[in-house]
Amino acid sequence: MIALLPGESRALFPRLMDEMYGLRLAAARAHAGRPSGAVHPLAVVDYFDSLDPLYVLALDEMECVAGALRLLPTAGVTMLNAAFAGVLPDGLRVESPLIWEASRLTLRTVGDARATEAAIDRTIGQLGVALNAIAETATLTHLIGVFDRSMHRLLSHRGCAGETFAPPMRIDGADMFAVLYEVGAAMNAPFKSLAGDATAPPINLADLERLRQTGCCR
Amino acid sequence: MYREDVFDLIDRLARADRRTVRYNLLDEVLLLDEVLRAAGVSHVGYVAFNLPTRRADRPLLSVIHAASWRKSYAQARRVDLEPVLRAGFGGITPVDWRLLDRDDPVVEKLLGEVLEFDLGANGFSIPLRGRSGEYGLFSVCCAEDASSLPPQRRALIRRLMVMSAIFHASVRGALAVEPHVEMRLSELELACLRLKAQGTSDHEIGVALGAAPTAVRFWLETARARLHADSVDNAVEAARRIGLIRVGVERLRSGIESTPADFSSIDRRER
Repeated sequence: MIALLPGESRALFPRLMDEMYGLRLAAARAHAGRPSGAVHPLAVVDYFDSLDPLYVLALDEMECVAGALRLLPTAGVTMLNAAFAGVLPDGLRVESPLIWEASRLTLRTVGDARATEAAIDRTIGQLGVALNAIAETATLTHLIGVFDRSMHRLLSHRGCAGETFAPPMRIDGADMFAVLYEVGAAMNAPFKSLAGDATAPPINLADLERLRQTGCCR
Repeated sequence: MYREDVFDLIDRLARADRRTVRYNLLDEVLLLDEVLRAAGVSHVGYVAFNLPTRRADRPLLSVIHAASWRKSYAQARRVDLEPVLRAGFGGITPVDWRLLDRDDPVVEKLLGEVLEFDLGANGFSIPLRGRSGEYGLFSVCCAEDASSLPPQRRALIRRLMVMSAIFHASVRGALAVEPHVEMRLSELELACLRLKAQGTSDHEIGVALGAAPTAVRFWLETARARLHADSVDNAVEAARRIGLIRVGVERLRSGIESTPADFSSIDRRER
């Protein structure tokens, strides 16, 4: 199941946010090859989380977060324009209302018995299908993924890596890749084949909370 | 806010400080009028805050509806309640008013008032974000039957996404404290526009530039946005008009020659 959580509603869903940050922390520790405690928990929350992004969360059967990413419009402040400015063509910002950035992709892969290959495939597939659906609803032309090396490799091995369009950048000790997806059937196909039948329209958690508050849903 | 008032506002902003206004500001904004009229839009609302402006005491620009409505909004604290504003400012995705939960008492009340004032039974709100961290919301009302078919609604949302960004950029340009910056496109964007102007297909442009058609369409889109054009065709025309590209005296080769050397250095092993 895919759940959409607007950043401004994050306080209403502390468990889900905590699980997402937990995945980021586990990945940061594993990829840095450092013992637990060497990566400060606050390091997993960055400035871009304060900009009210749209979080896309993949939930498992127990409604626990199995994967997540966040979306920001490139018309505003983005990781791409902040971190890749030096390597973008002629140093110009990528800025269009029809192009959004997907960043901080994180998956339940490290040290978790639930993270089987099949489960990882399904999570990546669900997130990709949801991304394409969100982008189509917003009538976007392209999405830019800003992913670290491990996520980029996971996507590459599954034929979902997108088009590399800027040289990798080293940020805080991690190699970051900027990749391009064109919204539509071509983007959807490889993710759909990974997700199999496990796709459904995303649920907007902010709407759900409003329904609960107004007594229309229990 | 009435459609005519939007342009009156921009006109006044432009006249207030011409030093910060780009040369073709009003031309860009006037495109909006054609789009709105064609789509059957009756009213426009625009709210932005955290704008980079010299007026530190007025970081919020609010031009919702008529003056009497603004007073009503303030008195009723409607900004805190209005679901469109909540969903719009809190989110990044366009809000189709038809998909708002009509059982929500606040939505019911809001839409009741909209009908009472004959503003149109439906509408869309487009959240805006800016490079200075500003937030905005651009809303339009339209009649029940306007763009009722999904493909039409999709086309209208696309146009509103584009036009609201142009509108916001124009307001930003008129208010901004940053010095005027010359219009500049990357060599890749210029090469794509040049070849597009010669009628070259995306695939052929890709072959010429050593890039995939996906990347070609990406650079055309960023060029369109940078030129504040409402379509790629108009971006080509704008680039030609202001002398960024010359067509007719250049051959296909010129597009290839202008490709930056580092484009081929992109690490393709990762694909």
